[in-house]
Amino acid sequence: MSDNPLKAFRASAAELDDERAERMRQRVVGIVAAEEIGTNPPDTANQDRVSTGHARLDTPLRDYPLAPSSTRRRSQAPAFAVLIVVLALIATAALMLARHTSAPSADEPKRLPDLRSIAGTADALPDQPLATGSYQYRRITSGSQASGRPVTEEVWVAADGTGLVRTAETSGTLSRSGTTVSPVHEDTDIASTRHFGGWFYEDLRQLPTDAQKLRATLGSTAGGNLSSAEIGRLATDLVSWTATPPAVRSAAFQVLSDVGFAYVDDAAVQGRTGQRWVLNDEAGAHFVVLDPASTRPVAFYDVPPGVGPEIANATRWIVYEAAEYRPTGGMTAGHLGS
Amino acid sequence: MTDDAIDERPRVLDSAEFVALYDRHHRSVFSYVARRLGPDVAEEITAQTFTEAWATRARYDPERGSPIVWCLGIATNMMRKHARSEVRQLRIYAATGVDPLTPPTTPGADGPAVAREELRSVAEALSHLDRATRDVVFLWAAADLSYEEIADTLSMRIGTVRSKLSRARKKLDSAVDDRRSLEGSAE
Repeated sequence: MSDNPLKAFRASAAELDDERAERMRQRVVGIVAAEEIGTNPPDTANQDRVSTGHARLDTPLRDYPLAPSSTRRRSQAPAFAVLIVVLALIATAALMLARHTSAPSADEPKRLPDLRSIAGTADALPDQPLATGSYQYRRITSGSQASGRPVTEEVWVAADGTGLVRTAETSGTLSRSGTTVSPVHEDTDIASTRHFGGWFYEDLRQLPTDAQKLRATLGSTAGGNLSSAEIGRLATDLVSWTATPPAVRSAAFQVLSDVGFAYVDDAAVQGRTGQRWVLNDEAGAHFVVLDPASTRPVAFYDVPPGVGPEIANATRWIVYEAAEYRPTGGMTAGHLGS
Repeated sequence: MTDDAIDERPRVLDSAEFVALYDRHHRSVFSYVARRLGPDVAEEITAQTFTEAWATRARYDPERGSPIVWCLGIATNMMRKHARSEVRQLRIYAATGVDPLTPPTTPGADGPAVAREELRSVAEALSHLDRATRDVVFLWAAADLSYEEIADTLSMRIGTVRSKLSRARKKLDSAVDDRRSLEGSAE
């Protein structure tokens, strides 16, 4: 068995940093100490709950203060949901009433940015098909809260799907300069193709220009059943490529709008500015930062629930640094230059 | 219960022994969960795992498995509600080439080079395994447990562990071989 790929997959796990380790230890030791002080006996009353003394996959978890019972949460959830809906309706009604009853102000706030207006801008941009012998080039830097080691990846992709990838830790020297990219095959489709950056040239050129169809296509990618945030992430990836036709680019921004991204503010991320949009779901806040003029993404990052909306605290992030047509600079597919 | 029966019961860990157990094993639990669900969820589940372990320590029987097996069993149990999220993250990794849970590794920086494309193939293949098989694979590959320990952790027969792991390894091998042959045909 060639264990290397699986072992390498294991090796890419986030390391436990000192700050996180200290936070966890305080929490656990605090609970142990609290029980010692309270002289609460260990849970011996329910001995038959785990008859083997080990966790079983079919065993319900203990209803512990730090891990609220899912049963209890389920029983309270409908009441909370109703309360939230009622409060939202009241707030909406109050807002509408205030708007209708107040006199127009000279200081009327300017109209908030709209993803559909960016879609309109995208639709009016010139198409930039890939010339023979040229490559789509993209440079992204990505990192996570845990790693502290951002990695820059450069990708060159020709129309037939061949190309090069070059990665480097931004704080270190270039350690790998290239490899081959498999060509796209006629019998593969978007949903089953694995490839750099998500899209081959012909894929980009043939994607639906209708927003609903494009959303369905994106949602069926990577095995299907993707969440709105995941569809948004793929749409963001899609509009980062130069070869994406204007009509597809426009549809992608409508998809971002349709899945629920809302404008937050104009923000600077890693030294680059853009409009910051957010989609909130149970997994946290998913931010995309867009340059409305070029209709290109600046960054995409996620913030887990309960964490401040700063990129330094993001679970993971991607900054799009460059996207254009560019030669490979003498490197050829399969040649590991330095 | 007779006095003999009382004497045969394992002694319950005291707080000092439990904290020592935590210090010895929390990194292994965190690393195992982080590879599957990312560091933020791993922090929460690791803390909950040891909280649960402390609360149920009276039922821990050392003869039925080491402390790390006990803790990884609790952690695996707690990860059940995140199964869908795990599959999605694997599929996103396979589709975009960017690991949602960690930044891309730099293959070739040390040790034998493992092509980035192969990792994506592994991610995709893992996403298609059923949850129980994925538990077995990760306990073997990410937590370095033996077949016997995996069987103890998941309350499975050792034969079941062997067959699940064997089938999974064939699928993963096949996915990587497919990728290598495609790359070979491209060169």
